[in-house]
Amino acid sequence: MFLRRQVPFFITVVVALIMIIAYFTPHPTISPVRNKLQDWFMIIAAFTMIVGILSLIKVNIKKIRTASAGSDKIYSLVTLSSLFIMIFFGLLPGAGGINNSVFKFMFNHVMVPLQATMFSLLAFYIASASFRAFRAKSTMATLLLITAFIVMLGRVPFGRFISGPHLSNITEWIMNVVNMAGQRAILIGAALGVMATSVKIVLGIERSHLGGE
Amino acid sequence: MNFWEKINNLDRRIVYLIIGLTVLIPLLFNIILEVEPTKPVQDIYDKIDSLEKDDVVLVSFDYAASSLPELQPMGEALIQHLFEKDIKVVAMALWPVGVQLSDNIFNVKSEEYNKKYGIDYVHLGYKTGGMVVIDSMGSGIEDAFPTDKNGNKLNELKLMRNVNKLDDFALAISLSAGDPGLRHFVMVAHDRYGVPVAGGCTAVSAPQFFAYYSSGQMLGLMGGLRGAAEYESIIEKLGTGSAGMAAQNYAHIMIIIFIIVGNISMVVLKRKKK
Repeated sequence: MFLRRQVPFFITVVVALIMIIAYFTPHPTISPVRNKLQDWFMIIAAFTMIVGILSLIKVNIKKIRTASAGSDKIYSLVTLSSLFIMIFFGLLPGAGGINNSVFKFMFNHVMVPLQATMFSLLAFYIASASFRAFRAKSTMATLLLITAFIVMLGRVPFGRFISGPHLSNITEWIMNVVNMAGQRAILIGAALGVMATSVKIVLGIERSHLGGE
Repeated sequence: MNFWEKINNLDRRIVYLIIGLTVLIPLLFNIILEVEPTKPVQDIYDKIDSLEKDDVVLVSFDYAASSLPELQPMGEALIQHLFEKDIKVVAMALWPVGVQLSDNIFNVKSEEYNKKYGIDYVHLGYKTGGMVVIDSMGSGIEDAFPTDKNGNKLNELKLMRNVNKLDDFALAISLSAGDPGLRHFVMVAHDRYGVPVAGGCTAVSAPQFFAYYSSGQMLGLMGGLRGAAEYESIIEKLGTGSAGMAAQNYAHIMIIIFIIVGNISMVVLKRKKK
């Protein structure tokens, strides 16, 4: 219990205090400590990638062994083989690492089009959803609909074609006044939430990161 | 089933087909629509235009291939403008895929403008850690990036001899598809170290960043494909951003038509029921 609760809590408090003090006082005695802690953070963050890769391998090997459907096994095999092929060519010694021609070819002609395709599907879903779900069923929905109309038209050349600068100006007003008010409220609310949670963690009130309570 | 009932129950595959053709046709026929630049985009151009020849600008490519259609044209236009003005560029990425995507830009533009690696531009590569990486660069760039992306020590690169800390940059630009990215550059590079920050983001996240622009924490902002098209229009080199703008223009019109038709069918069917 001491190693699982008190020690991590003690580390959290000490690190938090050092970082807070160093932020407001760039004193030469505390700055090196802060820099060292930042280096540690980057090293730990890099290791989380390794943990992610190991987890991906573990999950997919388990799927290959246990999945009853053939397609699940194939997807897992494709995932694992893609991972190892990219790692192999990316780490190939003496061949330029990520500048390796095979790695570059697979990146530009397989990975980029696949990622872009996945995201492009969104356009189709938005079009279908706008047809089926974007209905003026209430006053609020109608307001949302009218705003969406104006902003969508104001952001493309067609808006200028049908109304001159007016739609574009109304769009700018919606973005800079109406949207801004909402966005600032969200940003300030989120920032206050982060601060409150941080203080709770430092004081030991919030302990979920220690596993429980 | 009458006409409006048929419309109301329209097969989604027909919707997909129509939107697919609406996007595809302008791209196939290379229809280019010019857009008028807005102030947030013009401000980035003006800032870069006001920089001196030996100034160094940091450009961070914080996106993956999913946001490539929106952010890659911004990167191309910015690097083109910076190289045209003989401004030195230091590139980095807070997203792993950003390294290769930016490499594709530098390979083309460095050849076009006869720029030499290590003298006119340097690529620091990718580093995990988001905001902490930027903060670490504030104390010393070598703290976060001991070598460039090719493994060369920074002091071996001519360009990096006078660039030691974040505040040695005349401007920091982040092309960002989310976190880590532009938001963290505003919070650390601008707010903590006083470096002017500008950025480009996806259209969906642009509303969030306008708050930072209007407060003066960001000197300029390019939002989505339109932002890219606007920058291309200012530097008078219409590229993929302007080409994509035509597709987006017609897609927006088609979505508006879908919404109108959907609502008319709803009203007609409601009245019929009554």
